[in-house]
Amino acid sequence: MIEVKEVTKVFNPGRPNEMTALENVSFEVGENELVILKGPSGSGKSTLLSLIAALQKPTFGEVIVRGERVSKLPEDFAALYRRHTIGFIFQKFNLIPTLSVFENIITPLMPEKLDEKELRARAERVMEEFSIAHKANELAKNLSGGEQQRTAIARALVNDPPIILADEPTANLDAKLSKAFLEYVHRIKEEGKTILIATHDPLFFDLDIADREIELHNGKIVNSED
Amino acid sequence: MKNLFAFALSSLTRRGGKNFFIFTIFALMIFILAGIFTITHALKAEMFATLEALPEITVQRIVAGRQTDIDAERAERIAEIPGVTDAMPRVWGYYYFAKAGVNFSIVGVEAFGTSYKSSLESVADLFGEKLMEGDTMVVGPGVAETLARNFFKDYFYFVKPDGSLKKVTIAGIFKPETTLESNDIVVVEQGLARELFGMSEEAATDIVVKVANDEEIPTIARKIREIYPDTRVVTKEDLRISYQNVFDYKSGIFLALFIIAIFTFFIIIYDKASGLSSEEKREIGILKALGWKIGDILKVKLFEALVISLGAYLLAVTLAVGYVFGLNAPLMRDLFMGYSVLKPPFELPFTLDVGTLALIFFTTVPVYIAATLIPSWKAATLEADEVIR
Repeated sequence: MIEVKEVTKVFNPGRPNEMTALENVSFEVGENELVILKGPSGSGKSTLLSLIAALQKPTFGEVIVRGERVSKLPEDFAALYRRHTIGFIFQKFNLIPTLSVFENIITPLMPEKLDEKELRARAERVMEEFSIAHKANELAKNLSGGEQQRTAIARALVNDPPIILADEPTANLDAKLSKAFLEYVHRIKEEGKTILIATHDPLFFDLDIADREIELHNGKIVNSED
Repeated sequence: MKNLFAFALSSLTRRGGKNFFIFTIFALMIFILAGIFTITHALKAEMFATLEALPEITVQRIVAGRQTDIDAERAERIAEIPGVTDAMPRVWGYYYFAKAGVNFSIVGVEAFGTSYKSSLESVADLFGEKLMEGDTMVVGPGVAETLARNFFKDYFYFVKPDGSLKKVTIAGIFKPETTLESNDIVVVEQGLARELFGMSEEAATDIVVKVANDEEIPTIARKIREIYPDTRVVTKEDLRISYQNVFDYKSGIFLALFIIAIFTFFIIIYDKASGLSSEEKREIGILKALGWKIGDILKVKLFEALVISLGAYLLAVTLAVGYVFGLNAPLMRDLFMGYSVLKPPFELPFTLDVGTLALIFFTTVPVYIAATLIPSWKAATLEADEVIR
């Protein structure tokens, strides 16, 4: 499903502030697998997710998703790949604060040729699933942390993508909401999605929900275990 | 496309305060410019239409560089020049009505005979047979109103140059539709006009000459100058240039206004072009991360810019046309009509300067769109990861 082959990512190459975020990283993720990328802050977890989402290109190496070399995709094709294949849950949820919950959720669908009825139907499905339908018209900036989290998950799933990437999804949540997130993850996995979560939240390891854990340190894989 | 347009409208609403401010400034600037150019164009059209009706040549006598009375008999000699169809002495001038602080334009006509009466009837409301009875006058609506305000409803006492008074009865008022031309006019019999101005019986203010063939005007003008070296011979072409100069002068004043308006506009443009706010950049990053193409983002920004700039332009031009032709350009009209004359409540002829409206369009709308799109394009071409981290 996902193949990361000898990927190296260097920021600001050739400048005084050059920084190697990832060095010769290789691993594979199978279909419907839940993999946790762990490691301390600055270990390269978020960069790795960005490369898989084709938000950045590796300096060396390649990322292949469902047989497609996403690391070589031109910008417009990378955008289409993200739209149809990837659901991204960001660390700070990255909702657009001045849009309502409904508007935030349908944002990935806006460039598609869908009529309003279809947009509404798709949004309502995920809003119901993640218990946020009652806040549909509320502005994102007025939501609680848990509501923002559920809106972000609903937005990531509204296009029904096969792969979900989550970058430190519980970093800004209390223990109760973090546990609720794990329940959502479990539910998403049951739907047949492939999930990669970058986190250093011990909760994920204590509850042993992952199929596999990959540990990163200073941009290198130091441990990969089932 | 429809969804992206809906997103653009929502985006404009979300930043409503800022966008409303830009829309208002944009619309106000175009309204001022379109209003000025529309009223100038309409007045020019009216003035040049009036110019068409003027005589081909006007002959004035010049003494010490100033215009003075001319011997009316010279008209007979001028009429003998081959190509001249008619030459008529005119008596006209200004009368300052100190109490109201305005000038009346007094025009003397040869006689209130039958032919004049029938001509006048088509342009003025005449009061019975008074017109035939000597010291009478037909006045423009502005003159009538000014006199009535000063308790001269039926007659007026002119103060002659020697200080004596001359009672002249109002025999008619020009019809409202002639207001632009007649508002400050007082038409009297030529002899009475001479009396009011203190001119001798043989004197005229100038002589107007009609020429059958326009091609011969310069030659006839030269011949008149040769016969009467103390005259200034003004052709219709000279008048057209003179009118043009007056408008160019006024246009110069408005060019200064135009520059100020453009300057304000470019401050807005500079502010837009100098970059997006961190909030806007972040939003672009989120959209990219969610699978929007750069083209999708630019379409939304284009729609936003179009709604503001094209909307403001169309609204402002519509308001300007309504202001000039519907409301007759209050305030702005006074700037064009000068200071000393009675300001007539005329209706401007409907005529649009499409070229200038197009110039305003092309110097504002595409500039604003470019100033919106360029920074958005810059932000959209950055790696999304960089923008939203």
